[in-house]
This record gives sequence, C-alpha cells and structure tokens, in this order.
Amino acid sequence: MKKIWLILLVWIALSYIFWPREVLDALVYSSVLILASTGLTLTYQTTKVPNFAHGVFINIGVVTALTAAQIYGVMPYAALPLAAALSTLAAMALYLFLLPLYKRQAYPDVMMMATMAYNIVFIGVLNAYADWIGRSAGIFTRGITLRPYDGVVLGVPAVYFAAPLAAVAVSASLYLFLNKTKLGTALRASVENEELARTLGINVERAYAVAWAISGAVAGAAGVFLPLYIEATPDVGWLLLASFFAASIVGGLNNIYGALAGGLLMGFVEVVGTLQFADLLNVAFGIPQYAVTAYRPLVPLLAIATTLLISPRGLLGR
Amino acid sequence: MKALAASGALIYAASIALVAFTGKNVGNYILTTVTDAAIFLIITLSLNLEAGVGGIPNFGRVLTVALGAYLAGGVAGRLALLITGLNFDFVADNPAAVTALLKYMSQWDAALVFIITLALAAVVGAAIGAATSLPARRLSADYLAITLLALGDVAYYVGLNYTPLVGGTLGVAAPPIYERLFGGGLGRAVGALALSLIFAALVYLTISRIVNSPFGRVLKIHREDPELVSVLGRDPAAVRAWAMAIGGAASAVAGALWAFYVGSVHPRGFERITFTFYPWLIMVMGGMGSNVGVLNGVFIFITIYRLLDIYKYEVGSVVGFDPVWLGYILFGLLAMALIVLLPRGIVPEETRPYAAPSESKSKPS
Repeated sequence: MKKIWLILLVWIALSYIFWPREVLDALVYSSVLILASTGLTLTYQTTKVPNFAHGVFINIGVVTALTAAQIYGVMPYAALPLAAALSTLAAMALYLFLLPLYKRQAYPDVMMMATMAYNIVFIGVLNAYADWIGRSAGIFTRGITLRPYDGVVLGVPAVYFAAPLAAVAVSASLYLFLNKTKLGTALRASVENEELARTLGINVERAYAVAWAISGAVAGAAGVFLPLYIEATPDVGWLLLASFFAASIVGGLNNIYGALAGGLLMGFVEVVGTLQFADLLNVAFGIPQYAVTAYRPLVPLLAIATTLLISPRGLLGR
Repeated sequence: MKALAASGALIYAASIALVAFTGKNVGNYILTTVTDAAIFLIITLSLNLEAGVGGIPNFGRVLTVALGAYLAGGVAGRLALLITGLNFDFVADNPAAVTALLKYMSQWDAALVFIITLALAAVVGAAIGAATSLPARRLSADYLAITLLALGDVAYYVGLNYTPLVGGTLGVAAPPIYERLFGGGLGRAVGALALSLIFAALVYLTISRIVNSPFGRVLKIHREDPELVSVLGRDPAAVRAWAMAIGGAASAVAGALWAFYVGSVHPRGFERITFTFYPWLIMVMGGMGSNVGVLNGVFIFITIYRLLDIYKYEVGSVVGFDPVWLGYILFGLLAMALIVLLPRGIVPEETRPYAAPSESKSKPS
C-alpha cells in the first residue's frame, strides 16, 4: 500500500510542472472532499447508513458563507463558526430522527430513504431561504463565487492555504480525539462492537451523537470553502454527493481515516486526472478538451465501480 | 388496514371537487392527472418489484426512465424522419423537423414509430437494468445503493453534454406521434391518457403476476437475505439481474410514454428528485412490496403535486417563495413522517407464512 502513496506523490509532483494551476485547484478540492467525506465515513460507521443527506451540511455552509460575505462584506472564513454550528444542529436533528429507526432495525433501504427525504426537505428550505435573502438583501445566491471576498496570501488567494490547513487540522484533531480522549475511545469501542461497548457501560447513543455532531460541523466548514473555489448553489452538496461517496469508498467506508486518503486521491483524479486524460485524447485524436472534461461528474462513479470490483473494502489505507 | 385501501381514490376525488369548486378546468385536470398517475404508476411498480419486493435498493431509478425518454426524443425522431423520407437532422434542425413530421408523417407511420420506440425502450431498458445489477454481484445493500445512486446520474450528465443525443442543455421536442395519431387539443390529451392507461394496466397485471409467481417468492426471500436464495439453488446475482431487467424494461417504457406525452425531452428533467425520490416516496407511502399500496400512493402523490402546481400563484403569495421549494419541503416531510408513523405504508403488503404455522407450538430453540 505504500507504493500507491509514492506513485500519487510522484504524479502530483510531475503534474505540478506542467499543470501548476490545476494542481493547486485540486489541492483545494481534495481538502473539501476530505472534510466532507470524513464525516460521511464516520456517520456510516455509527448508524450503518450511507447518509444521502450529507450534502445538506455542505449546503448550510455554502449558504452561510454566501450570506455573511455579501451582506457584511467580510471574508467568508468569518462564517465558519456559524456554519459549523448550524450544520451541527442539522446533523443532530437527523441523528435523532434516525436513532429510533436504527433501534427498531429498519431495513437499510428505509434508512437511506429517510436520509434522502431529510435531504429533500433541506433542498426546499435552503432554496427558499436563498430566494428570500436574495430578494430582501439584494445579494446573489446562485451562480457566483466568493473569490472577490477572499484574502491574498503570498500572491495567491488565501483559500489555497486555508482549505488544506483546515483539512490537516481537522484530521489531526480527529486522530487525537479518537485516540487520546475517553469519549473518542468510547466511540471507537462502540463502532467496533456495540453490544460489548454497552456492557462496559459506554453510552453508545451519546458516542454516536458526538460522531454525528463532528460530521455536521466539519461538513459545514467544507461548505464555507466551496464558494471560494466554484460557483456554489444552495444544493451543490446534493450534486456533489457522488464525489463524497467516491472519496469515502475509495478510502474504505470501514476505515475512519479512509476518507483522508480517498479525498486526497479523488480530488487529484477528478481535477488533474480528468484534464490530463482530456489533453491526452486531444493530442491523440484531436478531441477538444471540453468535450471530455464535461463528463467529470462521472469520474466518481468510475472510481466507486473500480474500487468495488477490485477491493470492496477500499483501495487505500489500513 | 383494509380501511385505507381506497384512500388514494378518496383523496383524488376530493381534489377534483376542490378544483371544480374553485372554478379551474376540471376536464383538463382529470385528463392530465390520470396520465401522470399512469406513468408514475409504471415507474413506481418497477421500483417496487426491485426494492419493495426484492430488496434491491435502486436509488438510480431515473437512469432507465431517462433512457426511455431519450429513445423517444432522440431515436424515435430520427426513425420517423427515415420512414417518412424527410431529410433533416432531427436534433440540430429540431423545430423544422417536427413541423415537417407534423405535416408529412402518416398515421400508420406514427403508429409504427410508436410501437418500435416502446419495444426498443423495453429491450434496451432491460439490458441496462441487467447491466446495472452487475456491480451488485457481491455487494451489501448500502454499497449497492450508493453505486446505483451514482449510476442514476449517468443519463443526466451524458444527456446534458452529448448534444447529438437529445440536444444537450436545450433539449429537443419529441416527434409529434400523439398529434399525428389523435390530432391536436382534446383528442391528443384523451389519446395520451388512453395509451398510458393501457400500458399502466398491462404493467400492473404483469408485475402482480410476477410477484405471486415462484420468481416473486424467490425475490421476497432475496429481500430477507440474499444468502438464502443460494440455499434454494438459485444464484442471487441472477435473481437480481432478472428483477432489474424487468424493472428497467418497464421504467424505460414509462420514460418513452412520458416523453411522447410531455412532447419534449430535457436532460435537466432527469435529476434525482423527480424520477428517483418521488417513486421512492410513492412506494414508501403506499407500502413497500404492496402493489395496491403503490396504486393508492400514486394518486395521493399526483394529487398533492398537481394541486401545488395549479394553485402555485395562490400558494406562492401566501408562503412568499417559489412553491417548487414548498413541494420539496412537503414531500420530504411527508416521507419522513410516513417512515416513522406508518412504516409499512397505507396498504401494507400481505404477508402469508410459507409453512403451516402448526409447528409453532414447539418453541424454537
């Protein structure tokens, strides 16, 4: 498995020589994927449901950033605490809704349908909010980026530093939390063997609740970075859902740190890999690049299918 | 729970009364809602066979529906031009081609194109359905659901970006099959209704028969535990492939009927909500595994959906935002409430024990 990392590093380094801009973009996108998918993997391990509503937490971050930056003219990073708080609330509400279903051992497809329904509610709520705030405050809530509101560090937009820094900080904190704190150890024990954890007096529901809260907060933060990078809409998390799942699955849904590796790999594959493939086809057959890169949203599907065919437990890590 | 078995009809009847009372066009309301209901019935029945009866969590239902619609939009149009002997590029010169077809295509040609398109939709839908079951060879339900969800997006992105298929972001007008078969105006609406109803009835009878056949019983066992299917000497992967082929065929036919009825195909219409989430909502509402439940659920769903559309100005002025979002909120909350309060739906699936319950006196150890 070490070899994969070496290949990835060499590939990134070589790509940087010829595609420097895309590599930097991929770094931001990877960071967003890591932040989003870490929570997705974490919640999957607790209630064993692929959370189709994970995009909601991202969307809350996006909408919060769009609102704060445009109304108050601040840097979008100022919205981080509020975004994290709101998406934590949304995650807790979803957890409390799912818990009775989990306890009565509902079919997995019913649980997934429940998360999808929750997602649809929020698509409605956030879009309605976006319409309302757009009209009443005179701001744009669709089809714009927040790049003009970003700071500049060393001559490049601050997001190129802030997003990777956030991804590293969150991953490190998660590692410390899971390994060095009592609650984190309890969470790992609950995930490993729920019944046994209960007999040890661990409050499994509380441990799971903490996992969901972390998932929501981190994804909300990811949502704040997104409009600094692409034109984010109030339902962008729903559109990118396949990418988040791809990162989680490539890293291994059963591995808490899998999303870290999966997010990094998928970010570069999606941004740099797709472009290089398009360039290759352009040189070989004269196909224009945009005709290939337009299909980038299908890359996550290919990654999921490949992973599941080769090794369903994830390509990286362990 | 038999008491709720007519709830769909009752709610629908009440909505007709409401529409009549508020002075809207009742005839138009009935014609369009029943056609909508017939097409959504086919889609949801196909989903119910896979997910409700067979336990295959197909969160990519939209894939085969879109496929059928693309066939009706992209292939049927070219076929009609070929048969009629007209020389147009159906997608690039779409308005001219449709006008010419409206003028020169004979009724028999229209019928021929209609039949060929639906047959093609059934065959290709079955093939794609079976193919999408392949990644499922040894996957658990949740991995399968994620894979199918991602697969569902394929039609959307390919349709949007590959312009020759159905015109990309602009979409295409479907060939005027119904116009040539039934004329314009009321005739077209009645004809579309009749054809959709005939197919819905056919699918309903076929799928009900399948559910009660030996294959249906194997599917129900697959829902409980795929491993048990191999105990019976059947390959679970083959069972899944057959179920998804049948579901794919039926839903692709529904997609083609939808395109002919609506009269146009826009790839943007094939995102996950309309043809994946709504069929799931209808199925959960009616009762997973219950075809009668699905029938009731379809009418309740279409009633709410169309009433929101008819009264969108009234509703919009009350809530202060686009009623589309209100629809999402309502349908999402409805699904959540149903899952908690009526987990088996309004008309639960009839479950009969396969073995006589006489042995139950001796306690299972």
